Amino acid sequence: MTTSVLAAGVLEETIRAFFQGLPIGAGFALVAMSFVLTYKTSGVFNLAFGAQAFISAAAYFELHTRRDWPIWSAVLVAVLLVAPVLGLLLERLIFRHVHAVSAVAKLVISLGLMVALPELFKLAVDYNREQPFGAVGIIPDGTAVYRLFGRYPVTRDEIAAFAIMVAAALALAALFRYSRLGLRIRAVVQSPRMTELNGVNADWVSSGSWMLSSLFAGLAGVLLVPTTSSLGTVLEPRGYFPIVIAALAAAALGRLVSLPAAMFGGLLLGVVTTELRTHLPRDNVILNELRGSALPYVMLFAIIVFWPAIRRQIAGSDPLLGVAPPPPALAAANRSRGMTVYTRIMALAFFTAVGIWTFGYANNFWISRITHSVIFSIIFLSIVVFTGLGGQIALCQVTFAAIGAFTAMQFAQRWDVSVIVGMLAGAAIAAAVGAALSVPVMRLGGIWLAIATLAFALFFHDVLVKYGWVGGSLFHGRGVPRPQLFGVDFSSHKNFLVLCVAVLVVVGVLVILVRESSTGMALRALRGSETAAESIGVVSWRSRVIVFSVSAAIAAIGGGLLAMEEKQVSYEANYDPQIGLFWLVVVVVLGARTVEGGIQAGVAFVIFPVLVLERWLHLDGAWRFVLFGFAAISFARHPEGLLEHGKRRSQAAMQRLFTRRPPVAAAAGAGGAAGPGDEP
Amino acid sequence: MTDAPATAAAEIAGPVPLSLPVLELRRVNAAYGPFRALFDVSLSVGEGETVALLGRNGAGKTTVARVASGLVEPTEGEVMVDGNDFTKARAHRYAKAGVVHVPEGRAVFPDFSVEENLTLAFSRTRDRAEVREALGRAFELFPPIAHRRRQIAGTLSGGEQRMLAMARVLVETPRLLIADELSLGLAPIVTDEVYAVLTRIRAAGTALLIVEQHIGHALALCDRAILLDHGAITWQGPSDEAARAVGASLFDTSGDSKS
Amino acid sequence: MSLLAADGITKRFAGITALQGVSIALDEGERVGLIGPNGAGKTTLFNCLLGLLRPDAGSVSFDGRDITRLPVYRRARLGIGRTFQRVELFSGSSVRDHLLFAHRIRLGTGALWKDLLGLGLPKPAEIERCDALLESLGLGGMGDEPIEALSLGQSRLVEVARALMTQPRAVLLDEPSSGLDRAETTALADTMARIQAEQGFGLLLVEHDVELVATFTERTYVLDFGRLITHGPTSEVMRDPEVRAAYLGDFAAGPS
Repeated sequence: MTTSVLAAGVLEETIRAFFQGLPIGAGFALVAMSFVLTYKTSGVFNLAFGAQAFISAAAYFELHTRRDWPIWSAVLVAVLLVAPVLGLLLERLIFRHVHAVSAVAKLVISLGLMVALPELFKLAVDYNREQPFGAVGIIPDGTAVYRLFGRYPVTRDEIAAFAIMVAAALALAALFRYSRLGLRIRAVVQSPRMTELNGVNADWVSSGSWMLSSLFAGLAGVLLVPTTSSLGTVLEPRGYFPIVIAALAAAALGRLVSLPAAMFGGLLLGVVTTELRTHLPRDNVILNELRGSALPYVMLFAIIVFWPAIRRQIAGSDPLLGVAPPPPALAAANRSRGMTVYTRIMALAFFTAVGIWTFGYANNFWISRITHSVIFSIIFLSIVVFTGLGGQIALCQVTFAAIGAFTAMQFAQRWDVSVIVGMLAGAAIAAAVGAALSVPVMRLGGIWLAIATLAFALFFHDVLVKYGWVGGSLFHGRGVPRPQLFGVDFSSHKNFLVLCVAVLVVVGVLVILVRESSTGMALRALRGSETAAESIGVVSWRSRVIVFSVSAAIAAIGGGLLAMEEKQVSYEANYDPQIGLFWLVVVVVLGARTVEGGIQAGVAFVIFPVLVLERWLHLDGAWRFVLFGFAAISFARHPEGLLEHGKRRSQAAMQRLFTRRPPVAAAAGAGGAAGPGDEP
Repeated sequence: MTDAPATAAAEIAGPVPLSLPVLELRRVNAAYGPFRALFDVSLSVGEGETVALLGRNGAGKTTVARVASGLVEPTEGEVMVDGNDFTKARAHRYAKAGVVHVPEGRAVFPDFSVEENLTLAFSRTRDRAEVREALGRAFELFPPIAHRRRQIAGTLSGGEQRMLAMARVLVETPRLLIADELSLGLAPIVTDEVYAVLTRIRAAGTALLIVEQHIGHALALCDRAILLDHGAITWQGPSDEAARAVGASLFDTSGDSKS
Repeated sequence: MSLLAADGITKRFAGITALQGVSIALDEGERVGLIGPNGAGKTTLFNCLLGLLRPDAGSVSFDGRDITRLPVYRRARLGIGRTFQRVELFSGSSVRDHLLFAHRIRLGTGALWKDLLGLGLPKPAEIERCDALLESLGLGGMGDEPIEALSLGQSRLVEVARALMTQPRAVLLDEPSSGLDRAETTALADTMARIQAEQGFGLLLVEHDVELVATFTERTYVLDFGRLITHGPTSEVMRDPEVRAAYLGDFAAGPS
């Protein structure tokens, strides 16, 4: 008797979870379809769709809840106006002009937009309330509960979300099947150039598909407004992260190219999420985490690593693929010798001046800012190593920095060991974690690597940090002492600054040694041409695993120092994955290729918002996200970084001035020359 | 041997046509990145004229075809269509102007049905009756694909795909058809069928620019031939003199051309 | 026993048979050509030899060892060097760097700990060695040039030099004449012939420039429609009417 009652209860719970999962899955499905649509038509893996969903959701919330517009007009503006226009602008102003660049460069641009767009929106409409109360869905009286089959409760909002998603998917299918635009979009997907040969302007078609996919993202955002599950709320810039990740997982199920797979994948993940939440045992600590926000990250990571379809190369079926020259390598630029000398002289002068000022005149506030700059320079060297030397994008440097910080803290708190030892142990742990993480994902490379590392960073952020052995217990606090070494006390501001500068110099020299030696050679070869590198015997994934570990260790050292400087691990302020995205953007904008570029980025990251934005321009510090985010667009044209580019131009100008001889134009040439394409 | 490579193409370009040429390339250079594919190529195709573009693999024939249809923008020189400057125009404008291109290989949309492949190309109107009529014309030219309307193009045989690729550009009567390596990989019988259609199109007044490695069919079809080698025009003249020139250029190993 | 041999290679792509039971062999110290019209399967065979493609049937062996299943980099380390039809160089590196990379990888002496201790920096002896090779290829004094500053002909020579630094026993050249004019092609061929005579590696030349193959190679294989239609001494192959027909179509076996 009891077993059958229990079984009936389980069944009922299962069905209930199924119906609750569908509407959430509908949101995932819409965003996933947006990803697939733009990836197929323009080769852009637009991570910024999450930001676009947020903007539509927030616009709707702002108009309806705050400004009391009627629902229909708020939906009209947020979904049918704001979303497509935003998509059109992105395509027209940005992505149309970067057709030929590599997929990774496009990903960097979309990361910049992901950072910039929400902040721009918040600044523009003064949208800065942390907890948006009173958000209601687009259906009047949406919280009214119905009982499906007389027993399973669903709200009107949930019914509406699911119905609208189904209607949108059907409309999209019909559009593709029967309309001229649909036919043309499908043609562009197969071959933009062949489409052009048929007298169709492929750029117009591309604009159309961007508007369409942005509309889907916007619709998803608005539909998800009433969903305040443990996934977070779409109304906060951070809240849509889990949604984006789940949508990514859904899109990955179809290798980013299948729309039906993306839709069903989204629904499936929505249902799986709620089912697991219902059925996983509550007494198991680890499984319990899967009930919470960890699930999307784990799913995404698992899909990327284990889904066999992703391993298969997406073979280009475009018969005219040979027409366009290959995209230039991610960072293809050499420095002339004159340039190096010129830079060294300028750097020496600059650092002497800053040094004299700091130790002679600066107050504690500025000394602390400068120490921060030095520490962030160290952290950013890890990005220089992996992105500048390795030519790949990883989004979990922030996690490695956190590992360094927490290890230093744990060593000091638990065993009363010197924080310096703790920091070095942290570097070792980070290197090991990096190696373990990179073995499965490094073979994938490119955008998959970036996505997998983002999933890991978010997993660490939402799950691992909560464990005492990682993030320490709240009871003890997260305090970290300043170090003592060889009898010298580094607890004063100035002494600690000296220590940080010394570490920066050591790390910088090591980075240069690696760059100029065998490891760096293999990486440069891989970055230039992977095919050619393998033809002389380079094992691509092995080199990348090594460099990823080195980069992780550097980030951990920087993270440890940061904790000592602040005398505690300020995890939320310093080591949040979203901050990590911003780190990457700052470094690639200012110059990821050189040690000097990393230092510039460190200084800019710390000093720029305080000095330029707040003191000089009296602007909100959040403008830095907007400025750097949009500056990431420049990465497509100047992969060596904006400052490096500017220096080159100024050096060329100086040279012209003094020698009247045209300088050797170190053209950022194409990686491999394209053949005539006569041979298939 | 006897044919010294002509350097000034203009000298032997034949009689000056009365009307403006449909297509004219003036001292065109083209490159793929640092890789230079064409050096100062000048040629023109008049109204209703048929020209064969010959040369060995890698000589630059395909690049000429791509420049002539807007797929590759020249690095130097000009491309004129009906006397208008099309140098910077993209491929869809060439197609709208009636200069159409059948690329080499499987130049169809593999995921589309036969009918969708043709519908896409017929963009002048949405009128269903007219579309049907245009498709009817195309199917009439190529009976083998007529009863495969709903089949997915990627599953057609190589010859059928080539026919579909040609049918696609023929739904609207073109002014100039550029065909790249039509016979490549086709059985001789299929090649014959494809060339029979070209003969019909030619009779209807469409100009042709035929790129071929197998010169037999091309020379039988065309009035004039142009020979390319290493990205430059080395010979042009009437078709009946072309065979000797081509044979010499391809297999002459006696060494006198090794200068 | 041949140095590098393909035995009965068959390769299909989505139902199309690109190669049908093709066998070729290359011995140490000889120069062999592989020709055929566009679409004949030359590139497919080439990729099967190098490990970029895995044949559906048949085997590839090197020095008597079956290498059919080895990945590209393992074959490279055994001593198979190559160049590319579309020049593949390491953009952002100098000419000398290309040779240094190849040298280091061949020796396999690179290790992270050496790099970190400063032991991994280029040594004068290595640089001298690279420059000597550049000198003999006619690129003397260009070691510090960025690779982007080179002409296509020079770039091809750098590819050759990079392959030679791995001390290969077999070198495979993929359409080295493409994109070069007649004079550049001749110069490249002359340099290759000299180096090959000096070092004695086996050389396989995949080409569409029949003339280059005729002057440069001792033996030639001819592919058409994925099958080997003939092979033998180059001068005989060039006279074969079937070869002419493959290139010119049925029309043109005539002019002689």
